[in-house]
Amino acid sequence: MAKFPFKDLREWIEFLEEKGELARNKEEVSLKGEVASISEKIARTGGKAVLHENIKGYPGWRIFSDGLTTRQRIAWALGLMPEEMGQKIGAIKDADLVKAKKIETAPCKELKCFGDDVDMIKFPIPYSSEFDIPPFITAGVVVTKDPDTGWHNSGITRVQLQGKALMTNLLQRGQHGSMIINKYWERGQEWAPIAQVIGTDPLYYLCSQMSAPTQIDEWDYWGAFTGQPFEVVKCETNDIMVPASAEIVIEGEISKTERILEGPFSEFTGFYSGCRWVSAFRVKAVTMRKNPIYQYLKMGKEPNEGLNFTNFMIESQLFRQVKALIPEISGVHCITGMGTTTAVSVPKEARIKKPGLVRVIGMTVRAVQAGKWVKNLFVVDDDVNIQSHHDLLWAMSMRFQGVNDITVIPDITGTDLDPSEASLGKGAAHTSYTIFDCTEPLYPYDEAYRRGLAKPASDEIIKSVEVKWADYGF
Amino acid sequence: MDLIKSEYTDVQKARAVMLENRKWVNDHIKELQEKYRDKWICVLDKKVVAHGDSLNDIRKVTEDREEVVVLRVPEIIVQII
Repeated sequence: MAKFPFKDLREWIEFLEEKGELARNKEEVSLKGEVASISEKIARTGGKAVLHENIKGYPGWRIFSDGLTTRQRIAWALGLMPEEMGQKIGAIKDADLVKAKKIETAPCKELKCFGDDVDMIKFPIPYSSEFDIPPFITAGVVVTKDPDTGWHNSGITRVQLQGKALMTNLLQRGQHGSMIINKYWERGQEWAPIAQVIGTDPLYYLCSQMSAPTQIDEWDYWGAFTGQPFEVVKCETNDIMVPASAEIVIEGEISKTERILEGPFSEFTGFYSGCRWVSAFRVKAVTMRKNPIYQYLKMGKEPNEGLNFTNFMIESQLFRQVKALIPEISGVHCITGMGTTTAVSVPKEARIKKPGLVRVIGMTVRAVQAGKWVKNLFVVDDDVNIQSHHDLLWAMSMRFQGVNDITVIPDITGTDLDPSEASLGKGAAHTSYTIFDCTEPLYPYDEAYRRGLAKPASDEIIKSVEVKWADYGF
Repeated sequence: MDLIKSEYTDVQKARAVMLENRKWVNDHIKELQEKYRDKWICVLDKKVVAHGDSLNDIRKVTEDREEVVVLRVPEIIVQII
């Protein structure tokens, strides 16, 4: 039986099937809409992961998606229980990281093609929405290597198909991949080396979203979870290291001056992005496993797999980074949109000891790396379950007054993708940041707050109900 | 099944045609902006075969065909550095 740590995507698929969490689809599916629609329904209903084994127009290929759509599957991928995930990730220290291990050859090199044999048209890249034409590789982790220090950065970024051996890679300002690529360009190189891997074990996917500090390889976090080094192998045409377990490795180079029109794309905002002139990514080689599995990640409006696990990873990192500065906080939940709306909980006693703590929390969230896109922050007391949207809205209903409890900080850095930013009239990536203080007011103090929350029974009776739950016939 | 050397299937041929249509859009974007700025266009055989203010004007023409390119012609195109 497959078990954590999963050495590759195939062991992960085997594990999910043994748990009854995988559907093997033998019906023919079309890349133009069907794969995306199936994935959307899985996310909406909390359904199983799926392995499509009959792709229209792509005989011999398989497509896997939705391995990380549910919180339970994310927990399995991390080797943790769902209730301990946030705390465990938050507790990772630099000393826990394990450096990756280079191996000489790997299954990702079973098939190789170079030069004119490279043809991305033969890869079953599904559309994520009706009109993102051409389609995007959405589950690819782009790996770049710092030419000065050898630091490897991994991150899922979208790559659009533009031709047989031509793609575009959106590198966003301020992100580590962009910083690394710019180093090559600044030293006079027209083309910077780049690699993209598709289909690896799920823990590496999660680690690639860890928002690691500069000079930390995200795959070293893999070692923090497993106690073992992550195995990497050198690309054929450049000296970037890539996960040895990958199903597909795309090797290429990205241009300083050659620009290609990219977009539109079904963004995490739920809308189509505009078009942008983006660097050309020329593919020089592709290596892959025999009978490769193409991994697909649905993006666009939530819920979807991409945002479900990305939100979770951002909240774990945000908890870790804010807790280091404000130890009083008790929880963080990225509610939607890569953390653009987030909730933080803090004990009431801490707020009594430190006046203004809510605003300090708000400013700290925005200052740390993982909080760079938070636009709306709800701060609640720790008697509110921040994982429950109902509870959060209850706190807003009963502990918040708009005239007193909103702090707005205008004109700070936004995502550049949020369409509401344009309404500010200041150009791209300008946003405003709003802190909603939904904690119980300390003064003046209503009698209802003094009487306390009305629970159905004492804690002992509530606990005994939990223990006897199955006996009641549920 | 040789995934590298095999001949194109019909779906892959259609995808190759779509990429040619998209390249035509990229190469002619300035003229398209002058004529169809902020409108949806449908491109087939390297020419605009339909245009309109809404996607519904376009959907009837595309019929989910792989070869077509559909795009809302942008007012502004940002350059990513």
